[in-house]
Amino acid sequence: MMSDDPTGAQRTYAATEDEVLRIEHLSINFGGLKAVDDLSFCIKSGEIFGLIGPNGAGKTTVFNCITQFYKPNEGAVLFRGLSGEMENLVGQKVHGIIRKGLVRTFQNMELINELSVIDNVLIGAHIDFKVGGFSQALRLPRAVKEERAMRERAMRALDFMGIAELADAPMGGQPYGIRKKVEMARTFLCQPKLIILDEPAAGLNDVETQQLAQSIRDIREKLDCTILLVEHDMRLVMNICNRICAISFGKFLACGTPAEIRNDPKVQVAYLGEQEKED
Amino acid sequence: MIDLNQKQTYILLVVVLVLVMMLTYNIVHGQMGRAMHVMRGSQVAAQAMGVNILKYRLIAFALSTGYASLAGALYVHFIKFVYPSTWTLMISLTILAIIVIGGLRSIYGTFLGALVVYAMPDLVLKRIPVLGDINGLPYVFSGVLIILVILFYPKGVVNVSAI
Repeated sequence: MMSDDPTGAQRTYAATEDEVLRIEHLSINFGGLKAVDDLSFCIKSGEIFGLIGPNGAGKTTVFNCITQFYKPNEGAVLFRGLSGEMENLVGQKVHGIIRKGLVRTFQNMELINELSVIDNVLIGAHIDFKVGGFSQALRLPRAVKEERAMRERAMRALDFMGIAELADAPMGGQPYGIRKKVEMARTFLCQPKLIILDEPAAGLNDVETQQLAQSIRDIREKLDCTILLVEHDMRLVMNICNRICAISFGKFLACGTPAEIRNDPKVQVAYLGEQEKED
Repeated sequence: MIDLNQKQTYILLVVVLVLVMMLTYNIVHGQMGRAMHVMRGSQVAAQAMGVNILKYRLIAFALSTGYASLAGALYVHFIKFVYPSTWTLMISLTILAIIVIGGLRSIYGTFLGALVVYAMPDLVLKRIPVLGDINGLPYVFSGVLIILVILFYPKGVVNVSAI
């Protein structure tokens, strides 16, 4: 459904009301390599949506294109944010994306070891601070009040993840499972519309993975948000996702419910290889 | 105009120092300071959380030059005399040494570092026989100290007990 206007600037996007994110013809090249090639999919409001693909399929690249860490060469990333209007994120400032109501985590977490656990969570509320720098420096009553309110919010987030007792512990030296939880708490602190999780289960053991699945569901319920995740742990993906999109070498393979994806011949080929014809 | 003698000016300096330390403490422990910590630790995380890197780098730059100009103005009040060759590259390096020796990202560390780098040579080293007469001994002292601190106490003198 391409229109006459090739740049897409003037186009009004035909999107149904319940769509939160719509990727249209997304492409990005690194030198000669097409990391993502004409990828389109859409995510409905309230879904837990999985993006899967073999190693090097371009999943994280897609994430980086959505959050504008990479600038896609072609295509549109349409997002229905806090404003309620569908807008194209392509070309927007990286640090502006969170204000639209879209937050992400990172594969390698990106926590600050020098700060305490609660300070790491509070970073997630950066955009919600309204009091200016001078008031903060002078510790005016409104700055103190705001800081206290944010701290309480961060405490509730830590409590939600079950690690409230670690609030004042330094981040450095915390075990992997705790770090994952802290990053998760940081992510939903600003009450986003869409949370993007980059391999949330990587490096977790079975019990921790189960806890994670539960907390992802809880977050979705409690915040009434939508979740998009990239994951290698197929059990987790099949278990919690409503719908899944599979990609390989940057190209779209299939999109559907977990059962549909599992039985899709193209997906099977991508993961397991072509069946050898023996006689 | 109030005319302060040197002793009174010194008291003024101390008062301003304490005030600036308090303001800095507030900034560091507020939203702005956190944003700068994150920016230092992980630029991508900072951006993802909505920290405008350019804005906060400029704030950091403006703040630090603000401190430096305040210090310079007060210095002139204290010495009551100024000439361009006071402000050499050596001073910049000494200030850097103060920060490294005292402890990066620490308010008290900078204070302690200044004490070590400026006061130690005058108060202690000069009184050591033979060694105290060597020309440029303070520089040797802070040079050796930087190496020792970086090797054994990367968090600075202020955090020696924490290791």
